[in-house]
Amino acid sequence: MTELTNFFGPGKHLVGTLSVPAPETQRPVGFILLNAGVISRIGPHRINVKLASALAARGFASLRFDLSAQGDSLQPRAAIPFLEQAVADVRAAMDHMQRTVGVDHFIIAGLCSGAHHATSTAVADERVVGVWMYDTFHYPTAKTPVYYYTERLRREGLRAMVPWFSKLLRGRALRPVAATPESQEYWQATPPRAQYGAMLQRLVRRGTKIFVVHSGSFLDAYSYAGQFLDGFRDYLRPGDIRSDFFPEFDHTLTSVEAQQRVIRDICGWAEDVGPAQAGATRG
Amino acid sequence: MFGVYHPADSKSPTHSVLLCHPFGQEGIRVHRLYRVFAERLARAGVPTLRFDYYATGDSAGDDREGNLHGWVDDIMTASAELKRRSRAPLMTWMGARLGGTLVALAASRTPPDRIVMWEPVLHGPAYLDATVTHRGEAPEAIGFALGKELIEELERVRVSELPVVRTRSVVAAAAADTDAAALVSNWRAAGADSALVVFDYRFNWTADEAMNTPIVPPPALALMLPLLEQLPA
Repeated sequence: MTELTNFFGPGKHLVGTLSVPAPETQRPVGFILLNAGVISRIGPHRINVKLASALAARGFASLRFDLSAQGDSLQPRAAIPFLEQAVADVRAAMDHMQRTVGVDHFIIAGLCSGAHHATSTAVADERVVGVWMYDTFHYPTAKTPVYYYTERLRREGLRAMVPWFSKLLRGRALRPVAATPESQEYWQATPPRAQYGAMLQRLVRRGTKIFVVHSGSFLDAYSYAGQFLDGFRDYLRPGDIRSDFFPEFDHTLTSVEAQQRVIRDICGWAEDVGPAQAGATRG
Repeated sequence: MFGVYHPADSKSPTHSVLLCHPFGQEGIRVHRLYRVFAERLARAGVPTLRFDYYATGDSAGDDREGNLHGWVDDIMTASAELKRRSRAPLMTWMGARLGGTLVALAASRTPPDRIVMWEPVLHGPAYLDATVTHRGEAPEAIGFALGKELIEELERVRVSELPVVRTRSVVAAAAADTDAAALVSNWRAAGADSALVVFDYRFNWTADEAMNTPIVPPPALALMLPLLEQLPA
């Protein structure tokens, strides 16, 4: 693996580290690894550095980079709204990889806010053939509070039920939390379910592979395996996307075991993501 | 090894600053703060280099390959690079937490003109107790795998074991930090020019997310920037 850090982008204001596998092993799909919140491009606990190394060993080139003004990147010359700038930055990262490494198709991997930027970019740019998201927006279902309190009961005993009884008295016991469009995931408002579902459906129909992973850090809003698909039953069919749930993992993948599991799963999943999918199911 | 050089606005700077990172989660936490230090110092005419030791940050290497003696070598390499680029005659090495400890270890070998240590790690076993989240065959510290060699080196870190640094040194630490006071006292007793700056602001070094905790706290800027902008005495 060769690694090179430099400036790129239209204003040469973005900083990224390119990890390139041995030329004879390089695959036609590259990875873009994004910031998680305000953490620099190395990611929480250096996860992006570790992932880049594992990907290169399997023939995937990657670019981990800092969005405008984050990490080591500078401010762009002309200001546009942050979320639009993020998409422009990711597209510039893909341009950079296309030019320097020669890959034309991309998988974007993002944790937390990075997951949101990944899908926004995928919608805007057909070069994106895969999206991996960790702890993206939460869309609770009617089952979410049931699993949540069951899990708390298991962990904490009967005292976990005090808030539930209180809600029961107020007739709100089974109302999902954080399901409103007004709720915030980091600095981005959660899109309405219909809007997000239609967006996922559009990506799936285009042939973009989607892999969603949720941790156990927000059990009140995401509490059981299959919740993601349950939440988008009107938009996705079983098998359209892969959705995993690890209640024992936290939001920033603090345990090394969690990091290794996630890296292994991404590498395995990516084997099946490629330009061949793009267009094959388009329609 | 990855580093970012911030050239000074001034054409012939008199001194430069080398910023040395803490380890692990503490290193992640100070990334933004160090960038702000570097940008403001550069604007004030002080060229600055911040860098990642081998096996940390954006530098090459597996987590488990990092160790104190290797990181001391990295400080030497970074210092030489800063000297070559800035051509400034004087240099300060600044390090927070384990970065401060490493700065002291490196300065005992080849001292710069001044070192500044912010809450240096001066008792390795206590540091390990506070940060090691998983022990056994594959130990880890808040999401970073630890090599056996690093653990052994950290277990030996004690105020009494740290070699005397003969160059000017400034240690910024809380009034209650008896190890920091002992270090300055030891070094002074050995004839070194060492000063303790009481800094009671409690920076949350290991918060696992930046949300709800300041990542660039104004008190840290107010303390460090004037200190680092000064010419090493």
